[in-house]
Amino acid sequence: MRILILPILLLVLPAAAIGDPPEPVLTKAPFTYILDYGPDHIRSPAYLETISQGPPTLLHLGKDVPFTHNWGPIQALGGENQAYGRRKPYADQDYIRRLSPEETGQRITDLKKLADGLHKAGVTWVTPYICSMTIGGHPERRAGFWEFLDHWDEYRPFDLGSRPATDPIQWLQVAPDGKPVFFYTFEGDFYPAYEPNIRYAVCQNRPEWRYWTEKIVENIARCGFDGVFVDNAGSLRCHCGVCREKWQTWIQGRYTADERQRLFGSESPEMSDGKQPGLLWAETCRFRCASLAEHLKAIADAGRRITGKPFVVFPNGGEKRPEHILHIYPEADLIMFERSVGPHGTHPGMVLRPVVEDIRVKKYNDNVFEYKFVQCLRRKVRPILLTRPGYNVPTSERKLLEMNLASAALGNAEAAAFGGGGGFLQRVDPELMQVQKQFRDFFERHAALYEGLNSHADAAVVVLPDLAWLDGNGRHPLEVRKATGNLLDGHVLFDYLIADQVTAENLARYAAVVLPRVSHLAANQAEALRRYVEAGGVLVVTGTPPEFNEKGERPARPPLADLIDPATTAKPLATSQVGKGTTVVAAALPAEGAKLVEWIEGAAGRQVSAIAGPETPARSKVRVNVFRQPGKARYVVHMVNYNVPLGVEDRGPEVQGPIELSLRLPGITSAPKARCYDPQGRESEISAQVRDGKIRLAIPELRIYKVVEVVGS
Amino acid sequence: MTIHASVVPVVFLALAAHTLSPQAADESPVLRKANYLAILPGGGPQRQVSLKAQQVSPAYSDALNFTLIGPDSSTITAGEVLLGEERLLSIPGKPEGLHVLELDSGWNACRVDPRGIPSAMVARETVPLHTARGAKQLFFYVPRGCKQFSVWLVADAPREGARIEIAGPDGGKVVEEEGDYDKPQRVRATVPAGCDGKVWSLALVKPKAGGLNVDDVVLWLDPALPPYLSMREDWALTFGKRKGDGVNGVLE
Ligand SMILES: [Zn+2]
Repeated sequence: MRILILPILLLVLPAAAIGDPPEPVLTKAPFTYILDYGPDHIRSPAYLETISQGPPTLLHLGKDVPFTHNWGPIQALGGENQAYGRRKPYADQDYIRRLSPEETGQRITDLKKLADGLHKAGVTWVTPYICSMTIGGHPERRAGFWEFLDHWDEYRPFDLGSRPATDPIQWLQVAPDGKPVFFYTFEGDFYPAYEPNIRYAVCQNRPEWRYWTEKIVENIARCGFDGVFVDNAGSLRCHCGVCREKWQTWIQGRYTADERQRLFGSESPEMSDGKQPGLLWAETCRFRCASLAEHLKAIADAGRRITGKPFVVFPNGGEKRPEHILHIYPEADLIMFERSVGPHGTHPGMVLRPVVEDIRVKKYNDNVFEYKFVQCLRRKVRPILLTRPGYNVPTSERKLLEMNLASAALGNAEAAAFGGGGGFLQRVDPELMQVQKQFRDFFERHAALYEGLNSHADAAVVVLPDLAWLDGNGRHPLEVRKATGNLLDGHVLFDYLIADQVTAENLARYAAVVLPRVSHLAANQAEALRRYVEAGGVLVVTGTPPEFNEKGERPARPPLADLIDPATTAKPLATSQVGKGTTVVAAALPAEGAKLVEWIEGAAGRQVSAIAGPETPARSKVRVNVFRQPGKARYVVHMVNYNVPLGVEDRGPEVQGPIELSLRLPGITSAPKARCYDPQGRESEISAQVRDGKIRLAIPELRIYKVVEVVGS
Repeated sequence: MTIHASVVPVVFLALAAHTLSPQAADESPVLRKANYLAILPGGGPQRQVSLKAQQVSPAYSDALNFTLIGPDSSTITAGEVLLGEERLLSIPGKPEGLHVLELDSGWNACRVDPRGIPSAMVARETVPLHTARGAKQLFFYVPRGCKQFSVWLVADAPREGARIEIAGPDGGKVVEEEGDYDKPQRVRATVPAGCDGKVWSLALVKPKAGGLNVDDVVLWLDPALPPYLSMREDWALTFGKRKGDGVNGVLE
């Protein structure tokens, strides 16, 4: 038997990758997306026929793979980590029965036909499912993944190379006490979905696991698939020997010996266990993020080695984890936000919730933060939203929150308007697929409306995801959500700025900048904000102003001492003139309404709303977003109407209009040409004027989505 | 550098932060999360209800957000009350008919005083009442012909529970029950002869058994009763009879 001894020293992580920010990546065309974990896709002309009726750009399948990540080659197809994790007598079928090498060869033949058939049906990218960290089986009974390893050499025709030298029980993620880390805990002797076996979490830094991951990906690529969906892509909590060794290299690359002694109390600090927020925890998490990014890169490289072209890497793990998007996923192709739970489900649109007698209350769902945050990073990654009516929701509730034809259109419109190249999940449903088809046709026919652009905004919200680790109190992300809601309801065009983007040059583009409950701020960012305000900008600070720097140290003077009079921070709302500009300090932002916009307009002395005229509660749910072609007087204006009722009782949208847009579009000084598009309607020229330095455009009516291209003459 | 500070005047009455003020005569119990007050403005001149936002802990910053919804489900007005403040909200006399005031205090708390406008808290399974620190006395209507009804309770925080006291039309206690109510639990009441078609009341107090406190309690009435809990007996009658009387006239 050949045994592969893998060197423990892996690539040195790019610990010092802090230098110049990368060149901004411009927008791409949005795409359509279907997730289908069904088990019956191979040898099925009916399935290919169904997909061909409305093929999405991206089709995400379950474990339709030759070698599953968790069991090796098995009988079952489809599903994710949980599904089909047992065999007789614990299930009605032998789902995890190991396929013989001959059966595996046949499986590859079938999967090649599937991939080829789906491409011919019109799908651009087909990505089956793998997981970043799961294996199943039993080490003593040599079941599951262990059974496969014991037969490794029989699968030599599949280019698996030599069998890893160590037992997988040594690859597990471990806690500081050396005990295995279980992300999905269970009681008793087995993990219920894997009865009678155990679900283990493996360390992505272990070279043996990375090697196996590369082998499964190579075999997936050989089938003709275009990439992989990688579940649990942010799950690493390991303190194993490999992690500890890589960590020391990492931390020594980030701080001098003196700094380590001063900041962490040791020249060789151990990783934090996360019980205390602070710099050591932040660095531990950054190290793990870098490790996971490296793991994803290994997947991309493995696929590309086989196909000779870019291999799509599509991790899951964006939901409520902007810090991971920033540190793990910026160079992935796509990032999934698995938004399963919300007070009114998570499908975008308007919920009409019965209160009493005939009275209903309107609630709105949107995913603007998710799409826009990823777009504003201006990196390779593009956002994907998974939304649901909720988990375990009673039937009566589900009926109120379910997706319908109009809200499916809204979902695709939202991805297009805010994602800079994003996608919105739909399931295989013939009617919904026809809506999706309309949008895909539109995106592909009018790709120029979406590609190669940068967002154009009047305001900016500073988003510092690392505060999740530095202060750990969750106030900043909540306040960012409130600022987002206020700006959207007030029709203010805005960007998010991460730490690297808080520079004097960037800030100068905005009429107002919002610092929402920020506890830690670096000196250079504070200085950029000071210069911005002195030059005439409006800075809105909510909550207690920052007291710490980015290393968690409390400087002699608070970071914004030059901008904020301490006497004002005890008041609910205070404004101060600083140089030519203004600071507004507010105790808190309201969750709803557009109070923030009132403060900005009061301080700036001008209107920043992109919609002119009288406001109504329904009108406030018309959201506007604008992109600009860099260096050109060409803008693309997106308008999305969220007054689209959710639920099985398809009531149709509450059409809004007429709406008068009022936009500051630099470079346009005389009446521009404006053309209005609607994926579900007609194109038309519309008239535009310049008044008081702003471009005025009248939109007669807005059903769900309109795109207006404005070009200066 | 010089900083010229000007503090924007606060137009509302300031209350002491971090304290929960004593309950006024018609005032609601302390409310948390989302609650709905049904209001009958009555077609007369404009009147006002009072809203008070109270901070439960310095850890929470949620202000009170309110939305007044008209009989046709349209939003009449919406806004917020900052923590520690009181705001008088105008309720237009017209349109006539049932209005609903949504009160969302998030993790903090609020109280509403209808100041004489007939009103009732909505308490049904899909729109339950979220109270904190107990409730002194809330009135509800038991329709004619009703022989039995249930009140449902949940108090799922650790070391929290409730004692519920249900009193009949004469004020005599019909049911007294207490528990930790970590999961939704029904408290059944049998209606004695002659006690239907009348107004009853309930109160939530600290359990007598040691170790449990009364704080966050979610409460709703089962479909045998109109889904309204009022701060005044006469209002309970008004709301209870809105859809006619008798068990067949009971709301959805
Ligand atoms: Zn490890």
